Amino acid sequence: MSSVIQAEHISKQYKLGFVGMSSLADDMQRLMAKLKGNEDPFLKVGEVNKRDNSGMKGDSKYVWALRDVNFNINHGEIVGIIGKNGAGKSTLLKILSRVTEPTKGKLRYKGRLASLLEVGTGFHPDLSGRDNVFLNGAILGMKKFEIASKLDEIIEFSGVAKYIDTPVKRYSSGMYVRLAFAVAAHLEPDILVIDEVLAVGDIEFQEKCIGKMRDVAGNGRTVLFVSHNMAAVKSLCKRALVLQDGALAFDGSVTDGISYYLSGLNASENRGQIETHHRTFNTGKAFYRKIELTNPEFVNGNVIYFNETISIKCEIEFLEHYSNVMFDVRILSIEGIELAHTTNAYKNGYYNVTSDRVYFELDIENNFQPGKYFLTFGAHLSDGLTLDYLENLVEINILNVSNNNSTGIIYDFKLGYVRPNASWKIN
Amino acid sequence: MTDKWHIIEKGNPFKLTRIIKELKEYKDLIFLFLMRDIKSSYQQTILGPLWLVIQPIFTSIVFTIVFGNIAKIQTPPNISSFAFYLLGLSFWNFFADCFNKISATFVMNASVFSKVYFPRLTVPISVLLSGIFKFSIQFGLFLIVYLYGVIFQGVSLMPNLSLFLLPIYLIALALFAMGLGLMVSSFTTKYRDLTMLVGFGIQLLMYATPIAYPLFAIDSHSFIYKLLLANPLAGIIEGCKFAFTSNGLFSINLLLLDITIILLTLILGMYIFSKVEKRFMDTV
Repeated sequence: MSSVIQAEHISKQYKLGFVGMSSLADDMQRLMAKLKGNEDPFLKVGEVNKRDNSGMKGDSKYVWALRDVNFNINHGEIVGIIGKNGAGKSTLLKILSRVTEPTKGKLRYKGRLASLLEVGTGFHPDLSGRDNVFLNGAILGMKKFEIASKLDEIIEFSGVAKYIDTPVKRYSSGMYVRLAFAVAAHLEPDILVIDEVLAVGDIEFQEKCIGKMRDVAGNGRTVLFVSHNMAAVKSLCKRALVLQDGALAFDGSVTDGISYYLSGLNASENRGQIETHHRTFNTGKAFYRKIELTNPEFVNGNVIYFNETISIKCEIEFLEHYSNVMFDVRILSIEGIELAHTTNAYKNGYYNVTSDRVYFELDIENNFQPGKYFLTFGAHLSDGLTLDYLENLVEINILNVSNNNSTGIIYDFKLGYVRPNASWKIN
Repeated sequence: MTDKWHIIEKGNPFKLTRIIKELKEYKDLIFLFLMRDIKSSYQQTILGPLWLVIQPIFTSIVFTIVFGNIAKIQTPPNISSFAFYLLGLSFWNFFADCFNKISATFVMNASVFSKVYFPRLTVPISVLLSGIFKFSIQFGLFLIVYLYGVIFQGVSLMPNLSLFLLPIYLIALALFAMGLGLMVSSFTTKYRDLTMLVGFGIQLLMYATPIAYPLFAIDSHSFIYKLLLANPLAGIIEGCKFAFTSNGLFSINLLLLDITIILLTLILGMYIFSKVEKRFMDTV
């Protein structure tokens, strides 16, 4: 295993605000320091990059989008780079693809490197598909004869053969993207840096893209893949780098990397605590005081792994004691359809309230397809009177990855809301 | 894998040999950019490249009326004033067009430059090449008018051996447009003020260059005359006119000086450009 990419202390500083007189003043100071042989005075200032104002000590005009990032990537590795928005992924990509240079530090790579931060870079609307294939290919670093030798393959892969001599401005957006990806897919660099370009086209084409990526990766090429799509990262990569606030927070196996990333989402905030002030209906006799989602990985980002049981803890205050109470939780689609309903009464009958505070814990089997859902909480009496009702209180997000190493495919798209346990026998 | 390490870090040294080597690797891209410019320029026009001919014809007609008939500026005797203006304009348009387009290199290509790396100089070089394509059409028009005058109007043919310097004049104009353009495009990535200047500056520069008038229309002892000669374009354009008319200023010393200034401008432009191209994304 020989190393093909080495990043040493890569840091990148950006200036906030507009370019104008104040930046001219800074430039002058910088120039003076340079003439005197001093270090750039603005490299000492600057803060960790947080997009909201939290954690901002001063009001520095400079932020570090990347700070002291070190890693080493070996030949043939397929590495996923993940992180929240603002963690520095795009900046790292830009440095890797030589679009911008690091403020400090050094990046070294061996062989031919191609980057795909976008499909169809440099496509000219007035040129035909064929001309654009050549132009785009050359921009991505291919020689003309290489493109010519792959032209038939590219056109075939794109599926727009009929339109290949029509200006691309007449293409539908789908055709445009297909042609653009087809060129990119036929690049043959030693190192390939890819941004989330996979999120293009219809499902059939996405599948084709992922398949193609896997082929590319399998051919002994080194691939760096940046994405928010955990399913794609998991299925393509073996290793993951997790960026957090501009620093490399994790470097290791892709499974550990993804759980590190997910558990880190908003970890600083109260885990699982849900505000209970927004009630839809209340009789003044009973109140949900505390609702907490207690899944080990659950955080306020409201993410739950695919198939992971949903665990809820609640505290309810009663001003009057009833003997026939029914607590219920409903799961709704984002369109507002009630998909599932559970209550203590189904199994255990009504609950007899004997103290002012009642606590319950609930585990709900999770067969839901990946996607967003709402939870609704209620407390009712057996005669149908509702005491407290909190409709669509919290949105949860079922991920398209599971936390065990299941081999099945979790499609990113959603058909229906529930994936029932089913056993398939195929001959 | 035995390839050498490529190193990306702040402040890589400026090396002309490395730049040229890289450009050679991307010569296909330069060619494709050229094809793109030519193919896309006249899409959905009926007259197409004819527009290249129409523009100088109309400008020359206006010059003939304004400078010849109204201002009564004498043009050299052995060429029709229409052909005289066409000659100056074909070279001037080449320079002005290249300078204008190269000045906008970073701003116009920001979206592509921000997504993928390739040697940025491929863009200005392809601009020069497509400039040469347009120039050859406009120059061809001049030749037709010039020869028409000789054959049908009995204007005596007065070219001289300095005609062989024409390619050098053309290259000098190209390099000057590139040098100036690279500087402007580098400075405008952060501060756009220069864009404003270039907009009308090119117009004004034309009057500081003997395009619409022959140099001999100015008193050679006057201050303005000396000021005009400080413009490297003046010597070159006069050289072009001298080649066809044997009339005007032709001085090897002046040309050598002009070419030196042009080469220095070019080197400086390339140097600044190479500094800016690595971090322009952060400021553009």
